[in-house]
Amino acid sequence: MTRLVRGELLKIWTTRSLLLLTLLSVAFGFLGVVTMIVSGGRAGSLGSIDPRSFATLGATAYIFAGALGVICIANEGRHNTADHTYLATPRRSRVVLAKLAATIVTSMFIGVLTEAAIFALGLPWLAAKGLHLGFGAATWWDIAGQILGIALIGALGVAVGGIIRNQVAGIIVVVAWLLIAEGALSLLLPGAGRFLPARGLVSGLAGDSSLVPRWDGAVLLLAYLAGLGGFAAWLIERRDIA
Amino acid sequence: MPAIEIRELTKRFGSTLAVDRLSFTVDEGTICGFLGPNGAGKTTTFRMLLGLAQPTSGEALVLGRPYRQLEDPVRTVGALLEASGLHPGRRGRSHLRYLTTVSGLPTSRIDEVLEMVGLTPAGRRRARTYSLGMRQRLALAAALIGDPRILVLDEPANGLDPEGMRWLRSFLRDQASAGRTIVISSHVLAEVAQTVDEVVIVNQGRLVAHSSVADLSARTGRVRVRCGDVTALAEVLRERGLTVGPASGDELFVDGTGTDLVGAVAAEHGIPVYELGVETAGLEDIYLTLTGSEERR
Repeated sequence: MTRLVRGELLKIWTTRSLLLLTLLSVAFGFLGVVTMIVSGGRAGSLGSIDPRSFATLGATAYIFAGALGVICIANEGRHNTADHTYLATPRRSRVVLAKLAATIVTSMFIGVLTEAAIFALGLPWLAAKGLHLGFGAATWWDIAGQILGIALIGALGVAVGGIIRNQVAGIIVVVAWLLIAEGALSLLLPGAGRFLPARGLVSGLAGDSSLVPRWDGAVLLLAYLAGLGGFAAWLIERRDIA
Repeated sequence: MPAIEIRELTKRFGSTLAVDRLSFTVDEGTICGFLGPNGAGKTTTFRMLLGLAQPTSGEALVLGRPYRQLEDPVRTVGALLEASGLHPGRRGRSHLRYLTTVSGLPTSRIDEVLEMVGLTPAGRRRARTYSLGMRQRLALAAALIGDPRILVLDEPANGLDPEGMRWLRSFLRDQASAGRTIVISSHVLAEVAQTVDEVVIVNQGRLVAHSSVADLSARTGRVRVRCGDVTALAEVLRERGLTVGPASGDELFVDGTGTDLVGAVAAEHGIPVYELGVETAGLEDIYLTLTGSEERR
C-alpha cells in the first residue's frame, strides 16, 4: 500500500496541475488578506481582527484541494492513463485508497503553503498598521484543524471524481458545491448547515464554536468520506475501464 | 498450462455483440498474431483478458488465472493497448517511474527499457512533445518494465512510419528470441506474418481460424499444371470429381488434390505436362477470404 501511495504522490507531483492549484490557492488567500485589511482600514475596524479570523482566511484552500482530488482520479480517464494504473494494480479499490491518501497529504501541503503565504503577507502589513496579532496554542489548534479539514475536502474530491469520471464536470460539481450549493443550503435549512462538509464541518474543525465540535466534526467528515469514497471504489471495481 | 486461455468469451455492449463465444489458447513461448478487420472485437478481447473490461459471459485466463487475480501482474504480463495514453504534462521517465514505484522494481529498469526502445534522450521530455511513434515506443517500454513472460500488444504498428515498422519487427524478433509469449493484434496480416508462429483470426467477434501460418497456407494450396491440352485434361479431372478452375492459356488450377494424382491422370491420357506444382495462396488472400473483408476495402 505504501508503494501505491508513493506512486500516486508521484503522479500528482509530476504534472503542473498541483503548481497551478497551489498558486491559485495562495492568490485567493492574498485576496482575502487584502480585502480584510483594506476594508477594515476604511471602516476603521482593523482592531476587530483577531488571530482566528485572520487565520481562517486560508480556509479557501479547500476549493483547490477539492479540485485537486477530482483531477487526481478523473484525469486518468481524460488522458487514458487509467489502463496503465489498473494494469499495474488490478485491485482497483486499493488504487482509490492510495489516491485518497495521496490527496490528503498533498491537500495539507496546499493548506500549509496558503496559510504560510497569508502570514507572510498579512502579519507584517498589519504590524505596519500597528496591529500585532498574537497566536496562542488555541489558534494553532484551529489552524491545524482547518488544514485537516482542507485535506479531507481534497479526499472528498477524489470520491466525487471517481463517481462522476468526467474531469471538467467533476471540478464544476465540487467548486459549485463549495462556493454556491453549501451557502444556499445553509440559508434554506439553517439547522442542517452545520453538518455541511465545508461551511459546517471544516469551519468547526477550524474552531468555530457555534458549529459541530471539532472532533465530532472530524468524525462526521470521515464518515462522509467513507460513504462517498466507498461508493466510488465500489463503482470503479465494477465498471469497465474505458 | 497455456499462457493465455480464452473460453467462450462474450461481450455485449447494448444490442451490439462485440465478442461472441470466442475460444482459443496460446501456449507459452508462442508468438501469436491476433488478426481481424477493424471492429472485429480484438481490442475488446484484450481488455477482457487484462481485467479492464468485464466479460458478459465466459472467461479469459492468464497462466490459468483471471488477470485481476495475478500476484504480480507487471512481472507477468506487459501490455500495450491501443487507446492507452500518457498525461501530456508528465515526462516519459515519470510515467515509467510510477510503474517501478508501485511494482517495487528498481529505478534502473527505467534506463534499461528506455534504451531498449531507443528513447533514452526523449525520456526527460514531457509527453506532449512526443510524436505518435515515440508514444508507441514509450508504451512498449512500459510494457517491458517488469520483464514480463507474456506480452500483449494491441496494434503496435499503428501510426508508425516505415522506419518505425522496421524497428518494430526487429524489436519483436528480439523479444521472441528472449522466449516471451507474445500476442500481437493487427488488422493487416502483412505486418505480423513474418514474425508470428500462429494466427488467430476473428471477424465480427467470432473465431474464424486458428492455426499455424504454415498450415493456413498449405490448407488453401492448389495444384498448378501447364500441359499440351488443357481442355482434355480439365475434362478428365472433372470426371474424377475434382474442382478445376477455368483454363488460362496452357495453364490449369486444380483444387483439393495433390500433384501425384494430376500427373498420373495426365500420363494416363497421354497429355504432355510441361510444369506441375503446388501454389499456395498469399496469406493476405487467405486472410481476406476468411474475414470476407475484401469487398469492404
